[in-house]
Amino acid sequence: MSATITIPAACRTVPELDVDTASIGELAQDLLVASTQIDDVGEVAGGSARVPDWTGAGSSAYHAWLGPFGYRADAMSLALRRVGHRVEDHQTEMARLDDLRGRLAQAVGQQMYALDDFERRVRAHVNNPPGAEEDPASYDATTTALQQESRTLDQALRNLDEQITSWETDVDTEETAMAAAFRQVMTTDQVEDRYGGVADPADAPLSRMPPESAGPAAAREWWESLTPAEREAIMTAAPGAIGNRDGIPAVARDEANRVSLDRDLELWEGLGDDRTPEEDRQLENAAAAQDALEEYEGERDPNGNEIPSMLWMYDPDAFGGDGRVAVSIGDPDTADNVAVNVPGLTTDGREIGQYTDQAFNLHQSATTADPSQTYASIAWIGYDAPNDNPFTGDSARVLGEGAAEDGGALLADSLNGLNAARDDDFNLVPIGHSYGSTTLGHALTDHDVDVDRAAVVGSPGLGSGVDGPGDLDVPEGQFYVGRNSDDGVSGLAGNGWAHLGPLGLGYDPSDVDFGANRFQAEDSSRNGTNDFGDSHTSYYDPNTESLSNLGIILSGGEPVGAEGVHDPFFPSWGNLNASPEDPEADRDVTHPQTTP
Amino acid sequence: MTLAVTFLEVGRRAHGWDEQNLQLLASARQISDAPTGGLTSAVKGAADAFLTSWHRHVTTLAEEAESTGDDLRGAVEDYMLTDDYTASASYDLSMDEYAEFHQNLVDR
Repeated sequence: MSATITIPAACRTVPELDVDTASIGELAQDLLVASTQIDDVGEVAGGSARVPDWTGAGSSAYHAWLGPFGYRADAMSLALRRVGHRVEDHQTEMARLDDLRGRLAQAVGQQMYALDDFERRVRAHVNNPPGAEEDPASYDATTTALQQESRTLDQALRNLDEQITSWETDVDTEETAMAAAFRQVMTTDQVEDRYGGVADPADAPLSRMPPESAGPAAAREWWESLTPAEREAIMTAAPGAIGNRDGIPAVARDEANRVSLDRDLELWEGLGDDRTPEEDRQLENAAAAQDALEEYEGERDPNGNEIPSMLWMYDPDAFGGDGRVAVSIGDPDTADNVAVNVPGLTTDGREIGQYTDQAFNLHQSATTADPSQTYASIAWIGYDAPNDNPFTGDSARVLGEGAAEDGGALLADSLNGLNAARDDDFNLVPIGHSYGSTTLGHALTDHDVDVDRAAVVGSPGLGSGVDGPGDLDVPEGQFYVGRNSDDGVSGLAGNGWAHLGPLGLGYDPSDVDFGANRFQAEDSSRNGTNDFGDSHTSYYDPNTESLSNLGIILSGGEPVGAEGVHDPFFPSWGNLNASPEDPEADRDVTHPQTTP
Repeated sequence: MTLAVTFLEVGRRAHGWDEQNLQLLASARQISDAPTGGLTSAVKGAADAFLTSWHRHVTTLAEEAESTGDDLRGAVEDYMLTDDYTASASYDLSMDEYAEFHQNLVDR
């Protein structure tokens, strides 16, 4: 008997797709940031640029110019924004098509391997017919099976061909649509025809935005009432309105603040030598924020999960140019545990990099302590911290509580904003270092906040009148203190070694009579003398007792405890080596792992 | 509002348009520097043409803003040359405003 076994035709290979979706994202971002500035100029022309009391020919000419200029700027802003968002959609679609291409190419490879194998087996079968003593029925059965396999394989290969054709059509459709979106608003006439006089979709929702005084819950409710298109419009037209607004989701704040950051960098870097000293300072703040974000872009936790880094707060001009900025390592709206790290003296926006490093170290430490949970750790330069040496310049502000009092109010707003942004149960853990602990003390005493735990390290006191954890708005037993026995700043409390009394910043929280949970925080650089350098600044260093215990606290565990300090009863003026009785001073320092 | 105070406002608007000029120039630069290398060849040509056109459009806006600032400053200078400027300014403006008014003009 003669039978035919067909070897199916090979399927096509998948065409190359030369695309870089990350670069497309940068293109979209540049267009959106530029549209933000054009939107601003349109808004100025339509309002604040007018001089109502000016009369005469000059006034007439000026005001007659304002209308058409503003009209054109508004239309251009909308057009550029629309194209920018279309490029964002293009990025998403091309990423999908690139991914699909990869899977199709893999499937083609598998089917071609199967085809080669099939052809080899068919040839072997055909070249080895049954001998005289062999059963022809068995040979025929194999022939039938191979014929069936041929049909199945052919169907699979034709299906793949169809999928490749469909993929090509999708690529072509998307490319054509994207190119058309560029060409549709190439000239100013096209722009005005399409967008002239069109209401900005951001205007109506912005007019409904509740005032700051309404609180973060109202801001969140407003945000949730918006359509995706309205949110998208606000993000570009008025990023400053939501970037630092408590109650707005962190993801939206981050996106809005990055638009503002990009715009600022473009402006100030472009000015070159024409920058004023104030602009130089603002540029330094902005560049520091950019560097901090880039440093942790794509970073992964010890479990291999990507950690988002977010620009949670950004105002490079705040506090007389010191800047107000916060970077979150991890998403504070979804993490099981959220730390807000409050720095102390010598802090301004230019130093967000080093504080983001610390926030990252804490994130790593907490994940090492309990990998089953998720974390967000915020480097919060959110108040006007004294930014000079404690004994020169701003020293008067350091030694007083004014900045901490003002900062406490701002910190309380941020803590309440974090709570208001979510409905689920999570742990909120503020951590104050140095003067930041005094600021934290004010947030926890002067304001109504809801935190689960709190910790301070290197604290000179939590403010006058705070004599124990019971004075703080923290659940009982959930207040922790870390202090290196050599840390000179810790002695600046009213009852510390310096014995500043009412001039100090409150009761030493590491003193045994304060009643906090003290945890081990010794540093290997200690030498038995009061130190204002490394001993005071190493609490977030990797593989230290302090960072390990802070990570454990953030994860909800119990840190390795330490006995409290016995501060001297009498002043030790003029004797920097006069130390309190600290049981920790003689203990061997350990080096627990804080990273995998 | 007196004439001197009104022209103080005009001077401030002139400064405002100078700032808008700088910011629009930054936007124009950002547009022309935007990367198109990640696009496929079928799209890149249209994107490059778009960026070239828009750099020109936004630069034109910036130039109009600058020109308006110049015009407003010119109006203020014309006013300052009138005989009654010094007298009315000294009556109508506080010292701080007077200093700012002058500084704005000197800066330009």
